[in-house]
Amino acid sequence: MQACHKASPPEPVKTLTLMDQTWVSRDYQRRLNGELAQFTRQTGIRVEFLPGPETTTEQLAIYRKLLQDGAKVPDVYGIDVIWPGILADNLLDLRAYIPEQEIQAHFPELIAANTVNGRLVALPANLNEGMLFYRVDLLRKYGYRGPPKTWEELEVMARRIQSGERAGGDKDFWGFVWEGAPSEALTCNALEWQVSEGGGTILDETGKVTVNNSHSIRAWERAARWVGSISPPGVVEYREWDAGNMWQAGKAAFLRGWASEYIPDSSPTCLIKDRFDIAPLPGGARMAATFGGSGFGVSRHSLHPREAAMLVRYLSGREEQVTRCRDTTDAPTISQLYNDPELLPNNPQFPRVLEVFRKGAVSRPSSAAGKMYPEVSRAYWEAVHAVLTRKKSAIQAARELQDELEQMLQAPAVGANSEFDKTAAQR
Amino acid sequence: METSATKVHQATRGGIRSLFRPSALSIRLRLIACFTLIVFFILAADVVAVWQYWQIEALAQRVSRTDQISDAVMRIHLDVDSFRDRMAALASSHDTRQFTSEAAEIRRSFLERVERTEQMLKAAPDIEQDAYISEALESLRVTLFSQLDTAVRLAAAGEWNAVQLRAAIEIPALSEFSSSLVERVDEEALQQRTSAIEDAQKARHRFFTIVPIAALLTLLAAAALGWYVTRTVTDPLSVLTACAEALARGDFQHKVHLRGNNELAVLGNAFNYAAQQLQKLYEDLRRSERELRGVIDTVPAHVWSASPDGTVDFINERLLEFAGLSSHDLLGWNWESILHCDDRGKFVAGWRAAVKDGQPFESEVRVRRADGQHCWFFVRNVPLRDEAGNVAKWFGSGIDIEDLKRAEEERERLRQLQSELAHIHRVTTMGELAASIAHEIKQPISAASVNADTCLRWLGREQPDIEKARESVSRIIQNVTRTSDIISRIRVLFQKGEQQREWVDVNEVIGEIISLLRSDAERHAISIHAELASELPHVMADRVQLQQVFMNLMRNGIDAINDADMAGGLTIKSQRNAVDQLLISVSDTGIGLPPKQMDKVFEAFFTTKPHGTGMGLSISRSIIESHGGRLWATGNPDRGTTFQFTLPIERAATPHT
Repeated sequence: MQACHKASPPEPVKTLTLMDQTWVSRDYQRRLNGELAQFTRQTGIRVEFLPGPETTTEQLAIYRKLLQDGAKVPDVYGIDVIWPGILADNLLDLRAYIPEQEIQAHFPELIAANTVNGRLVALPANLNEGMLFYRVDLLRKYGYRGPPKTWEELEVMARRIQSGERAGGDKDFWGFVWEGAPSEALTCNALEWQVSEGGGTILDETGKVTVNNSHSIRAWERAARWVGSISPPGVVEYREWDAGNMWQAGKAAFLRGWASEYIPDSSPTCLIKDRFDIAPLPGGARMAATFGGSGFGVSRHSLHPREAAMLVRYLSGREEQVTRCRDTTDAPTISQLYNDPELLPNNPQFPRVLEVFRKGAVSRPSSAAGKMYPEVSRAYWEAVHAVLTRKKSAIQAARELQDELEQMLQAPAVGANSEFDKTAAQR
Repeated sequence: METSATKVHQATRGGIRSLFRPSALSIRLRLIACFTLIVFFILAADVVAVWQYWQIEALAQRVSRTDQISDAVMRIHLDVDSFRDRMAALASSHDTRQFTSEAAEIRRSFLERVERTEQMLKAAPDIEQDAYISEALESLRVTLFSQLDTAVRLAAAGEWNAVQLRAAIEIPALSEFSSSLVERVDEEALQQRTSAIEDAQKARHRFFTIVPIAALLTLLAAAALGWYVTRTVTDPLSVLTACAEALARGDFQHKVHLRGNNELAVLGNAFNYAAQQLQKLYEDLRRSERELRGVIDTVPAHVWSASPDGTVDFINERLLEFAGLSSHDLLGWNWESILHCDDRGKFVAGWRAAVKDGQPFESEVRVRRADGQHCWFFVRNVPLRDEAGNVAKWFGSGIDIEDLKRAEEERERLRQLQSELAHIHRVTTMGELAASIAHEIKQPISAASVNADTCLRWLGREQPDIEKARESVSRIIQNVTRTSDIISRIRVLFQKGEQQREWVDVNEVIGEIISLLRSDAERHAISIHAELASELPHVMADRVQLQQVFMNLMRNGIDAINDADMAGGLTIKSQRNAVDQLLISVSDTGIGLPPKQMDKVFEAFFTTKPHGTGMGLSISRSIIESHGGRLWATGNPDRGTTFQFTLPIERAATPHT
């Protein structure tokens, strides 16, 4: 038997497995399958797709479990911009496989975010950032010429349109939908609220906890005010998809969404097709848009690291990003593409996205928190959620969070992480 | 490190070499090792067969497991589908409590289903290798739970719109994914089944290839081992055989050289020892044979031996010296030349007949001596037989009987002389008897004369009485006949002739002699009594010689009574005193013999009578002894002497009446 196997030529087709984050979308699946098929055509390497859970918390939990267990599958992971510091130990340094020139083509901020201790553990594939989606038709209907510049303006416009639409018969219409469920998305939202109010980024660049400040408290209190007024009471359980669903269903005037959601909303089947546009999120003290996006990294346990790196290079490469720009709104991570005249007609949002990225991009404190980031983020969204659901006052929540974070960051990182894993596993 | 590795290598090689060097192992161990190897080969072949069979079986099980997993994944997909439908239905009903409880139920049953499927996957190593499916299941589970939790929370928050939108948008993606997973598993199952069928085909093919090959290899290995072991046994055996043949030729120097300590090597050493012992024995035998030859050569007889076909292969020194020839001149059949030409034909024919029959052969033959003289030899050849009774060897001896022959001739001449002497004695005795014979004859002649006269007178009468005359003539004839008888008897006594043995009635002879001596006895007033047993068997004897004995004994008796000068009697008895013997006695009432002379009377020329020859009793004794009897004398208790003699009764003798 063995002799027979030895005699046969080595299997020419290698199969890689890719685990990506945002899969629960037919369009995304279709597009990804197309990309992977193309890769297979080019290299002869088969790629199988493995879906991840919906939320980043759950995704991170399963990633960490797989990587720490030394799972041979998947070979390639979709790496959220906030994860490199957490997963670096189990990811390969891609600099060994990918030409420096190709790495340099990406935004230096993103390369830096994906570099841990000098090792490039993931190559960015798309850029994402918080944007304000607004109904052009409704704004016009209610006499507004442009999107709101401040949160106060947004509140006013939302309340007016909401009451108008409800009076018009759309009983469950809301002014503003956003992601209020206790999850990473809430962290992103709340960070935008408080940064734009001048409340800082929870931790400063040195890692010092700065969350307990009046700007943050004011921002949280304002958001709490939205719940049940311009936003549905259940917004505190809205995940990204729920907010998006409501928006796409035409049940809201404003959406805090991700830049990448632009095209899906523009699709022919969508109810609000041609009736919306995007704008930078409202700001007070400054423009603030939490930046996200993801890249691809190779598992240290992969049996085919070279082929896996080839896949990463392919998925993050310029060519593929150009292709992707043609039928998605995933913003590229290669700055040159933003000025590509060929792409602009299909991606009218690019200048705004680039502008937001240049002027208002806010990083979550993942670099400062390092491996503790998931804990920090969880503590933060729990505190904010408590304020939103009126379980705590913003002042109390801010104070307690300050204490909790300070304590947490003094404690050994490992213990906190394992506690986090436990929490995630219980879900 | 390198040296120790080399040592190990050498030790291993040495061990292996010693294992295959036949002399190192005993034949028993070799055979055991051989059979063990063959059994091992058979077991290995069986293991291969079982292994192949197991593989076919495992393939079938693999297909079955794959189908089960495929089925389980399909059920999961159906669960997802029903989850979607249920969620949509519940979202429309806006019943939070029911939603929550059903969500818990869905969660529980889905978890159960996924776990069962994961267990199946773990039990199916072929599919489990494909981590994708289990990871996808895990992902599906986490996602579904996440969806469920979110939906429950949204429902709890009263966000039925959000729930409905999720049911309409996100859950179908989940369903699609589970559907693609089903397809994926189906594809996997199909591949598994296809490959399993191919593998099963291959395995079956292999089974029918490997099993005969294994059997053939086992057979070849068994044959090779058998040949090898046979060789390791037969080679030393042929060495032993060669040595045994050399030993048989008498080459004691040939040694068996077999190394090792196995049975054949031990046998070889034993063989060498035996050869050594045999050589010693052979030398001892040679020495004792030389000694025996010496003894045989010094024996005062001619000794030889011959092979079963009669070819003489050994002749002792004594015979060679006698013939004055070398052994070459006599061995084989050359010995015929030294036989006397008159005896040669008869002897050789007798010897050939004896060789043919295997019977002992005795003969007297004349053999030429070195000086050309022929000597009589008594030759005796005796066969030595082996256990089967076949003649293995002839042994012969020749004893010089020349002197014996001469003695026999002398005895014969003596016997003739004795016969002549007896005749002379008879004649002399007859002379002495003449007077009584004359008287004997005269009496019937006188009577005849008287009767003739009487006859004449009867015829001379006027009326011749013919009847009376006839009676007288009859008497004359009686008288003449009696006279004639007397004369003829006397003539017999005078005859000189060869012994003539015939069947003789002893009583008749006694009667004849009594009738001869009666008148003489009556003249001396001596009575003769005969007490003769009736129906005595006849004896084979010379009648005349017996008459002579009786004549002598009765004459002596009459003479002894005469010498006593008183009336007396002579008593003659005959009887059968034993089965094979007659006893005859002649007793007188004469003067008797002094006891000292009882034996002397039989010596020649001894006599007690003034005119005796001293030959009578001596001749009588020799006559009786020549008839195989005994003659002796004893004194009577009152008076006189009794002479007794015995005569043997021949077996064929029958009483003559």
